[in-house]
Amino acid sequence: MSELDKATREATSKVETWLLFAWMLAALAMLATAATLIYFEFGLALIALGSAKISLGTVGALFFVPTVVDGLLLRRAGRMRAAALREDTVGLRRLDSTWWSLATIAVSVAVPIVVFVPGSPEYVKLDFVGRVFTALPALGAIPGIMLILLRGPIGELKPPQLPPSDAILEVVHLKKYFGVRRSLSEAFRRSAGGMVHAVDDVSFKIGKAEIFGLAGESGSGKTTVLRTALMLTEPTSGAVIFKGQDITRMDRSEFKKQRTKIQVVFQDPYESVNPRMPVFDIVAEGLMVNNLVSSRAEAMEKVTKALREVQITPPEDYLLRYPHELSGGQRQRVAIARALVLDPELILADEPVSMLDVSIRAEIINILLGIREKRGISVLMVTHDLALSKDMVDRIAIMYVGQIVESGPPEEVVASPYHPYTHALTAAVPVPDPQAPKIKVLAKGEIPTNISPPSGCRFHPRCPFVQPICAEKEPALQEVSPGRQVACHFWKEAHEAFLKGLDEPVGSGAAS
Amino acid sequence: MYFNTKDGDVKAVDGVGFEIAEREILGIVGESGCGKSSLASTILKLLPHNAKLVEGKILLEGKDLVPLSDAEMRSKIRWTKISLVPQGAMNALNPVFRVGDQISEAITLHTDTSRSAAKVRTGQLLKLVGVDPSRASHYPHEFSGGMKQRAMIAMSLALNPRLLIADEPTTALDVIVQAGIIRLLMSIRDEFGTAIILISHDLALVAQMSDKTAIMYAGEFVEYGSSSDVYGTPLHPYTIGLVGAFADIRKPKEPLTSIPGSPPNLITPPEGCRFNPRCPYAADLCRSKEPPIEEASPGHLVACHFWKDIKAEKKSQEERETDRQEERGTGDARRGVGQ
Repeated sequence: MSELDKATREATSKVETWLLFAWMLAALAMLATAATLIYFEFGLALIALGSAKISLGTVGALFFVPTVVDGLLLRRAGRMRAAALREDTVGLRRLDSTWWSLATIAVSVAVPIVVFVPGSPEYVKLDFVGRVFTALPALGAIPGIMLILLRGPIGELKPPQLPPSDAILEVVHLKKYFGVRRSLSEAFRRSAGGMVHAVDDVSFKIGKAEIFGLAGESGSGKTTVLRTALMLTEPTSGAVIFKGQDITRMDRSEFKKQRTKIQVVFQDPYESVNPRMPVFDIVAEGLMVNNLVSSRAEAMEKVTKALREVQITPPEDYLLRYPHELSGGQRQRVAIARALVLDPELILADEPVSMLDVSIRAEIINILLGIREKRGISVLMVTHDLALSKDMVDRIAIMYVGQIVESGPPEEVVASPYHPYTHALTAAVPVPDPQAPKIKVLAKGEIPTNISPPSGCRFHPRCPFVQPICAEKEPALQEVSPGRQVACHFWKEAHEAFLKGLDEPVGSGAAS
Repeated sequence: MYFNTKDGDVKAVDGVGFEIAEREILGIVGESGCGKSSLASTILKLLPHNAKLVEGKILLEGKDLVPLSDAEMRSKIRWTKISLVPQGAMNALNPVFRVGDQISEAITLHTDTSRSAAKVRTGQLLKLVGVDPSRASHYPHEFSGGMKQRAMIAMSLALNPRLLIADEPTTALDVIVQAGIIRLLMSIRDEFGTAIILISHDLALVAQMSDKTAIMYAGEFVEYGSSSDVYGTPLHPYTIGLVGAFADIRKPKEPLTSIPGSPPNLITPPEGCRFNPRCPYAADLCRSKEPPIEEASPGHLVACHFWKDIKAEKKSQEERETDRQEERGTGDARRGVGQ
């Protein structure tokens, strides 16, 4: 664990302690207000209404609003605490709001002011005990004040300052945990509860006009990484830096402007294009929503250009067609055109060809490669198909249970893997040649759950090279040869075994 | 086999013929909509009411299945002689029954086995496919995708069928799990001599498993022969296109080729050869006359007017290829030393 993680851990734990107090106080305020409301204030309200001195609205405002606000305060403090427990610094910052705290304080204090100020209608009607009871909602101000005081420490949970780089997208120590519903007892035991470690400390960079592949089996977290790059899911901690700016900490309005520069192509073109919109509307929607065109004619020009780029020709014939009139490959090309029309700098492609027939896969891939060539657009491609990624990406990272285990140029990673998991993956991929050596199963058992991943190296329960240390110490991802990184204590041994086990020299083709 | 629809007959399977012997694995490869799953249901006569078997025979051990009634199919053929591992087997298990009970049900319904004996048999079957027999009392949601697929295979083996039809048995599974399932199917073949028809869109998968391969396009077989013939010397332009479009993990980085266009509508398939609108070799002959099925070499059938030209062209290309490969081989050796 890095120094940085340790510092974050200590800081969040301190914040969590104070949040626990705030939470308990909010609970107390809530209970007290509710008790007052039920046993005392209903009667008071009836008296007041009976003497017609105050309106129903005032009664509501005075007595119900504090109860509701205290309840919300309780919920907010609880959620912040849960975020602190799972070291979710991004979530903490998002929940942290001065205006909200000030509003709770104002509401909590309003009632006592009304009943304690001599001359107010309530002051006249109440005796001292009644006034004290009615003032109980003021308790809600204390957790509100605490939350404001906590702003300082929360604000300090900042990401490290990174050296500027020329990368288009840089993902730094990205973590995304999804909370499994926490039970009440877990909340009291100050446990964060079960969590799905979807992405656990992933870092990588994508350069300009580079195609970067994230490969792994289902559940390895590759799609979650892609989603955080669009902020479709907020990361738990870490940073996603697009052209030097951390998009996880950007204002919503600011991010909206940047977002046109990051576009996404989804896996299934049968679901990702709206069946009720003609092609023109599908492609032009992004332009319209972002006010990037001033007239329909301009939109038409951009749309036809984008369609031509994805080889939907002649584009004019297709503008008014609906998706059901297109084949799967054409639909996916429309989806790519929809991304291209906004002139992006980064395209996120989530398994762009896995739903398509083999004979049309190549055309989609060639289109993506052509776009990169012509426009210098970078691509983050998520895939499970190692053979395909080898032909398409410049650099590949293999993910296993939320972590990158190996990365490097795909031809090298696939032809001569360092990590035992990569080895197992490549050995399991069938090749279109009946004479080729049969596929092998080199990893025993099944993928572990992300809720309680194995200790140490996550692959150790399935690994043929396992040693005692693998269960204890998590191997770091380190550069072992130029451009190649691997996270394995015994990668040398594993690699040697791989070289020895080869039935035939890598590269001898299937054409025999 | 045609489907009756209000737009006309969908010629889902049209003039297909093959044979499969004991212990043999036949792979049927094709794109979605080419009729490969329809072919499977036709063999089992599990057809919807709008389907009609226009002509042809399905001979099982010399006996034609076509005239058999539904009841006869159910009692004498399905499960006992031919069983099916359906597409999307992951969803084929009933989620509200225990896995073991579902397997025993298949046994007790088709034979006179007592429930307890069926239970014992279920345990054996699960063990055979590599699932812990104690998991028989679990529900499908407690199984992983690979285990569900194994359970489905166990079920299909319950009555020792002679022929197993596996329809896309590994789609939606991860590669390592897929490799496990393939090994399992191969070992079943070796152990029991079961013949297997493997239906898949994955060219590589079929290459790994099958002895014979049939390439299906728009309801017809375009090429059929031993796997080494079909993959080694593909003669139909569609097969060549498919092989070119398929990424091979062992080969160095190379651009993939695609087949232009998309599969035809099967209600009104193109005149002549059904592949002609997408074919790089198409000539006028292809647009007017359906190509006959010809034997290119013993057991290697191809339905293309120009297979001879393709073969000749391929031969000259291959000579160039070998030269190139020798160069590449030395390059690899050098790289190997570098590491």
